[in-house]
Amino acid sequence: MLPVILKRLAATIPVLFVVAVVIFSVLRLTPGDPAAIVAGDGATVQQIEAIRHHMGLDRPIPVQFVTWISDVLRGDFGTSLISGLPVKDMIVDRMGPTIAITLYTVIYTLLISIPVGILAAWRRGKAIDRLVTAGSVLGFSVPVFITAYLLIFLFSMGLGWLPVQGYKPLSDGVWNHLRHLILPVASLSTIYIALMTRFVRTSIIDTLGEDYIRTAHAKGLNEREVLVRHALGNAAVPILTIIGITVTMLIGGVVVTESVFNIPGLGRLVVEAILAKDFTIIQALIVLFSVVDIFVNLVIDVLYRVVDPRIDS
Amino acid sequence: MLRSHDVLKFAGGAALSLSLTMGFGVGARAETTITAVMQAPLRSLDPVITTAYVIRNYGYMIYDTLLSVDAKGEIKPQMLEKWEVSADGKTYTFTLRDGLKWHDGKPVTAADCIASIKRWASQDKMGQVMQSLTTATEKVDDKTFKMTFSTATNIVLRALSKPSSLAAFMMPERVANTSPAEAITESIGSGPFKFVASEYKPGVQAVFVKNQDYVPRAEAPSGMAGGRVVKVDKVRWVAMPDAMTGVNALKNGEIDFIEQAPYDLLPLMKSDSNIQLIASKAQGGQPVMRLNHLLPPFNNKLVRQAAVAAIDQKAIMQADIGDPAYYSTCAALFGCGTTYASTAGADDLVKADPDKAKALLKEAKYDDTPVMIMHPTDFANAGGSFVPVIAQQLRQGGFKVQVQAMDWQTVVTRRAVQKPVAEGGWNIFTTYLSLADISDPLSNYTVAANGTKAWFGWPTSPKIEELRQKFATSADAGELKTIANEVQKLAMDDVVVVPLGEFSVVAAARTSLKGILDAPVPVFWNIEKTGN
Amino acid sequence: MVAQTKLGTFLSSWPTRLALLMIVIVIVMAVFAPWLATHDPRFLDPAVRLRGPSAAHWLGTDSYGRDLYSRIIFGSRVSLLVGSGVLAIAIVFGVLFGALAGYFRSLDSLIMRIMDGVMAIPAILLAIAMVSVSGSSLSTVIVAIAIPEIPRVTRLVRGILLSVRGEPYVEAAVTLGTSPAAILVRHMLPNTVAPLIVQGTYIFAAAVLIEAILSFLGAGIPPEVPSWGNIIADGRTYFQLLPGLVLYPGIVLSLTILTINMVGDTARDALDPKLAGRA
Repeated sequence: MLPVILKRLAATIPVLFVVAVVIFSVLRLTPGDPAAIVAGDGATVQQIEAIRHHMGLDRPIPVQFVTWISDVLRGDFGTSLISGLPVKDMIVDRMGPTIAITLYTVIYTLLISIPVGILAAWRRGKAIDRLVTAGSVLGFSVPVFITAYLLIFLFSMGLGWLPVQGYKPLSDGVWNHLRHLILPVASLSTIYIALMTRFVRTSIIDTLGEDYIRTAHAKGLNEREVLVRHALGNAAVPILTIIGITVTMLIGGVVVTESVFNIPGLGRLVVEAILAKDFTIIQALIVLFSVVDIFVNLVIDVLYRVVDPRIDS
Repeated sequence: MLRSHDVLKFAGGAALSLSLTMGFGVGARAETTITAVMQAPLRSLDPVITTAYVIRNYGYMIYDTLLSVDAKGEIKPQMLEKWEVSADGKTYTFTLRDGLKWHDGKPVTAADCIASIKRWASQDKMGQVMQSLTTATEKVDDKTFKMTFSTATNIVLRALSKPSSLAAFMMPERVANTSPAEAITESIGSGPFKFVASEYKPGVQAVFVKNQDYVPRAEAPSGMAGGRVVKVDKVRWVAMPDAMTGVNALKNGEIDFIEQAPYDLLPLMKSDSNIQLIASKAQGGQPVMRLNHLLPPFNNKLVRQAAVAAIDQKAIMQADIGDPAYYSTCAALFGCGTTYASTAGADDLVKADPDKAKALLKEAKYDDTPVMIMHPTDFANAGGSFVPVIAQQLRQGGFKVQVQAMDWQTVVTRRAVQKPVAEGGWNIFTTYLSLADISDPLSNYTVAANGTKAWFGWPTSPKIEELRQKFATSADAGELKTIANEVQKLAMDDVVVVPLGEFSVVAAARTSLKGILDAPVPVFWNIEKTGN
Repeated sequence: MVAQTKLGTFLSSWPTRLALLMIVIVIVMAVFAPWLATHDPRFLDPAVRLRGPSAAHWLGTDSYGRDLYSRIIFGSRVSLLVGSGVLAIAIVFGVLFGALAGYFRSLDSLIMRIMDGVMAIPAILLAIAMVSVSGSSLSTVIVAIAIPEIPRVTRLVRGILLSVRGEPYVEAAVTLGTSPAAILVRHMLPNTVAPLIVQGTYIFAAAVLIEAILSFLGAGIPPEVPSWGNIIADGRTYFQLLPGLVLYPGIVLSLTILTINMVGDTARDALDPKLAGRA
């Protein structure tokens, strides 16, 4: 197992390099100038030039790239061009809400989609299956912000059950924490539940056709045992894959959700940074997101082998 | 393994931020906290190099000023005990009052003030004029300093007391010695609130607590002057990227105050008995259109005048504000109803006259060069939303118009480019100025006309510059008025800047807040909070 | 043929028929927009801003007093343009890179590492960054949405090519000395057509959706261009005053994506049962 993991880790290095090059070149071709932003409305061209020089933005781009990469390798992500605070601190500050939303979304999605998917597969072709299938297509066709506004309209403004916006850390009380996240998680997970349910359903249907399932049936195991023990067990691999594939999608969704519900997480930080041309933050965050994505997929790759030892490298 | 180490670090960070928030608010006594949504989230902390209004507002929380202007427009001492003018009108002696202390406990000294004035004067337009007239600044003793000018002038009083960008905030000497090209990240002032750096999240929240050591003046508050008495324990500024989310949060009592409520959503709040709406002209603004004098076609005065003729203020303000209760058309560069209000030379400004625009363009031999107007799409409140209306009016006036959508930060970057449009330049941009900033020919930096050194758009008019210099040195009220009137006339004729009207700002607050002051800057002293 | 009978049965089901009908409606909206619209979708009339539905403005007006109904009609053009533009770019470059990687072993790892890198960057963030860089315009938005889709097509094409490389008819062509280009075009790429049709519909739907998200976040098509995403972005501030500003374009947008996805599902099940479920 270990050599496989090491090999996979080594393979991530060129991928991360590509990420770094892509994002750095996209950003430095930008006409946006953080110096002008820091200088504000009444500044003159001369004042902006002085600030740009101070930020080091007047140096050649390759020099800036090498400086940045070597700093990052030493664990130094630099300071925000706009606020002057260390990027690392800003990211740590904003990490809590994003971790909470993504974690709850994944848990909630699995809790709903696995049973529903199994049910649909079991009742294949019946009314309930068609309902689930139709519902899932609908689920991933409605944009997350439309779902979010409908939920706010209904549950916050209409019924007054849940807060409109904001985020409370766990330390403010478990219920207080959760009730601020119910609507964001519900909006965000709609798409993933739809996707995952479809996936669970087809995976189970696929495995139900396999020989060993027929054997299990022949051995006289009851329907539930066959479904849960054999079919689900074997469908676990494709289900794991889709979790990995959707990580980057999930991060995209978090950006929108955090903006609608005013949650001070990493998603909003990165959008704000992009709009403010705060290069150091954008670079650090996109690299971070990419690392998370690569890492999650690596973990899943390892889990495959645990779930299904037949797979080798 | 590398990865699990990373994960541990992440988890550690999350736990840290959780415990930080947990640690706070465990006080025994019930605290009063005002949670407010300001016009923009706070992202940087240097009120001297940045003119963004939210940073100015932050400045008034934690810093203090030597002088301030009261509701009647009179200059009053704030940090000062008194000032004295020599018989020849050239030397001013300033004496600090007792009990002034920095937030780190050290006393405020004359040396601190001298260093602060120096840094501020290098950045502020009026400060620069003041600086050019200054011959000496000397410390007399720890509480007294002296400034001498080359001619008799009261510019030092007007400059140090002006309420808005850039206000002359006093900082400790070692902070004030930071180069003006470098943003300060410290927040040690001597003002009525202290900044809680550990709870500051740029773009998300800024927290201020009452400065228990602050000694307010004895006078009642009036405008920016008088006693700055803090009546709550804590003020939290939170960011609200979505306007409607903010309104809903106010209705639900999740926040207490919105500095600039979105005009279109006012009906949703009017019907709510827990919410008070406070319209303020003093904090209002003037949207402006700026033409680039360096590039064709607006390097031709006739074409600029054609643009003015094409503009219709009412339609623009209607699109921008909506409710006529909160806007008016206004042709006065220095604000309507102000000391220096004048509408000289502005006959074409308020109403559109497309035929006149076309005639002027014909006379100018306008060759259908498209004019590029920058459209900030993320700058929702006043300043960008009316760009499509301007574009439509210019087209009706015979212009070829190309609207370029971009985020506000790109506008800010691009407007500093003096090159042709194809090389990243521009023809038109719009923004708005706080009325506190435009009240006279010196503080209104849009009328500066010293070419490439002027504000973006770079108009050249030696005559205007001469008048502004005269305005700086004159102390006679009548003469000042004549000069302002003359500047208005010249600026209109040359189309230095195009004012588009005036609007009031509407603050929305829970009725639990009492004593909100109508000052040119939203301030949090004097506000009480009772119940929810 | 099996595929045809399957296609036949699916076409006979009413949800698929409804889906196709909706797609026809959207295409008709786009093609005949100038005749269907009642107003110039860009004409501003601040005097009548934010009005509810009336005889003059069937669905009301937006915050600039523009006619909502006409904007939604014209919005279909932008959505179809974005969808087909993204699709074309993603397929052309995806097939190109996929073919190079799948046929030439030497290029495989280089191309796939680059694709992995691009895929690791969240698509929406990359798109926002690109639009923010190049300024908002229709073509920028199309390219920005298409780039993250390219690796997905590349992977699909490469995977299929790798799986058919060892097939006897390909081996035979190689021994006969047929040029690589001819082998690719004649023998190998035809295997990718069916999966690409299926993948293509999903890319189309995703493109329409991402355009809306970009506009919603303020990094999309220039706001005066009537796109469904722009209409929603403009209307969201007024959601409680005039829910229709968000709901009407939102419904049209969701229905369009829904029906394209349904057609994609139908095509998948009909053309290649093996692909079922691998959305």
